[in-house]
Amino acid sequence: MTHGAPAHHDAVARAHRDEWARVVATLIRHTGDWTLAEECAAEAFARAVERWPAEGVPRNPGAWLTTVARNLAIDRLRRRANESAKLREAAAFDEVEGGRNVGRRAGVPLPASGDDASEAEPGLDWGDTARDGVDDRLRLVFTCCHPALALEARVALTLRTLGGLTTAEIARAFLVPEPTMAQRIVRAKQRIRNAGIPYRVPDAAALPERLGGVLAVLYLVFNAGYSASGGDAERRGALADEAIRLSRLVVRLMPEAAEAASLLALMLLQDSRRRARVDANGELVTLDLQERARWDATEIASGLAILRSLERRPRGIRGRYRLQAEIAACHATAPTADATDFERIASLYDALAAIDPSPVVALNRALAHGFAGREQAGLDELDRLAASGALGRYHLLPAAQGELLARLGRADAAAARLRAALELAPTDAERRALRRRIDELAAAS
Amino acid sequence: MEYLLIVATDPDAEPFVPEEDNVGDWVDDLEARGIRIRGQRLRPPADATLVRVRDGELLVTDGPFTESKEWMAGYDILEVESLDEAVEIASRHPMARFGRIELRPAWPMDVHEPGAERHARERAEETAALG
Repeated sequence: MTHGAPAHHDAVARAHRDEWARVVATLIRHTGDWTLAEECAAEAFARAVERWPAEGVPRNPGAWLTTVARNLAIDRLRRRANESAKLREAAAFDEVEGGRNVGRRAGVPLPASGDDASEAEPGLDWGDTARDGVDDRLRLVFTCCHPALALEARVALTLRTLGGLTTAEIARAFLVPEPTMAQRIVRAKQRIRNAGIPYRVPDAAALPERLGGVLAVLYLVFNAGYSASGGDAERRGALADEAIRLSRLVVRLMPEAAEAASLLALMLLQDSRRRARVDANGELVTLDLQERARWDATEIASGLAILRSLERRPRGIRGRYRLQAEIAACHATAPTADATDFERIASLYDALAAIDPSPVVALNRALAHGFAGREQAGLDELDRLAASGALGRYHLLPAAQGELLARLGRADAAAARLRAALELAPTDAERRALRRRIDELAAAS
Repeated sequence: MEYLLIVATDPDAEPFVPEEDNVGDWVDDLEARGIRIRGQRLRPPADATLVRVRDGELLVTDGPFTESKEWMAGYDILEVESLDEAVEIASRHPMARFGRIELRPAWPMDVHEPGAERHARERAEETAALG
């Protein structure tokens, strides 16, 4: 009895996933009005829900949705133009009748919008492709992630306008009240208009740096979803899915960008461990103790395939995401934790530390050398890091010291460092994991 | 769009190297392209004059004297397509290295609209936008 309806429901859901960004991005280019674009896109999807069950799913859902949304936008712009014309007429009337100076308001220039000259006359020149042949979705990607926006605004806009998540969904994922998130998004759109942030893909000269900014936003969204250490794991998992989906879009739009492909590979390889990271009781399971059979083989295969395809390209400098993805691949392909190629991981961390001098990379590099059999060298490096103070009260520093001390058989010293980590750990789940490790060491010695 | 490019000193910047001050090339390039409407270096805060009217009385003093080591050292008015173009231009100003640059977009208004009306209208628009 459920024939038809669920299939149409799926078709709309799929279209929302696949076509939202295209519909919104095209409307923004034509109208320069982000809110109007989102509202008309949402309305077009609502019409699809109403009409597709009766009329059937159109052969090209994206074109159908764009046309409906575009017509809605034209209607609204016409209505708006009529209203302001009426206002102008009323004002002119006032002036003649006795009075006031309201009519002069019309002289205020409108803020610039988009790079298309057609805005002045809505309804004209509504082609699907801009003159430069650039996919509108790519303009949207770079504008949402513009460095002149605050990082949290970039994240919110990327998920709302590009990803099509609702404000409520984004608010829940980041554990902020919905009105706060709504305000953040409105302010970000106002800033785009007021500061003159263009709706455009950056010039070749600025592109590598700007792409780095885009990827940083996507990876931040992924990590907010992946490190399900606070809040609702389910909702946060949706963020990781969203980050992967948007990264796939960027890879499709910029197939030459090795770092974009590398980031997608990194996300897939890390995400493959999502189910194994938490046990039946909801406890965090560290990488070495995870049940490898529970890793997602499909995601691992996709991640490895991307890395292989990058190997076939002319050799260039391997960027940070490439190196991190290759490290993740070492873990993903190791049959057991002990059989992991830590020598290779250590050399990948050497390369990573050369391009990214951050203390967290230095920590992981020291740990990798320690796991590759150079425990004392690793510990010396960790001591230097601790002395530099660069990692402050970061709990993973004493935790790393504890692990390397344990490998040297110095159980007491190891337990002391793990207890120090316990004091600093930010979440209950991490504290419980550290306590288990301390008990384990005590039982072994 | 019109931007005010504010050139400021910054104690955290590289020390000034007079030999590398190529501001002339920067100005020539922008003027050839019709981008720089005007601009000037400014005398330091020690030469500033402060004007206030308080209780109907005109107060003219020297200053303001602040302890701040970051002060406005010059300005340029640019007419460009977008923020990206303004950023690219600002990044090539020698004081982006030796000091810092602040970009402020112009906020056009109808100066003849009665102030009370403008105020009320802009308040209403802001409220509507924030829902």
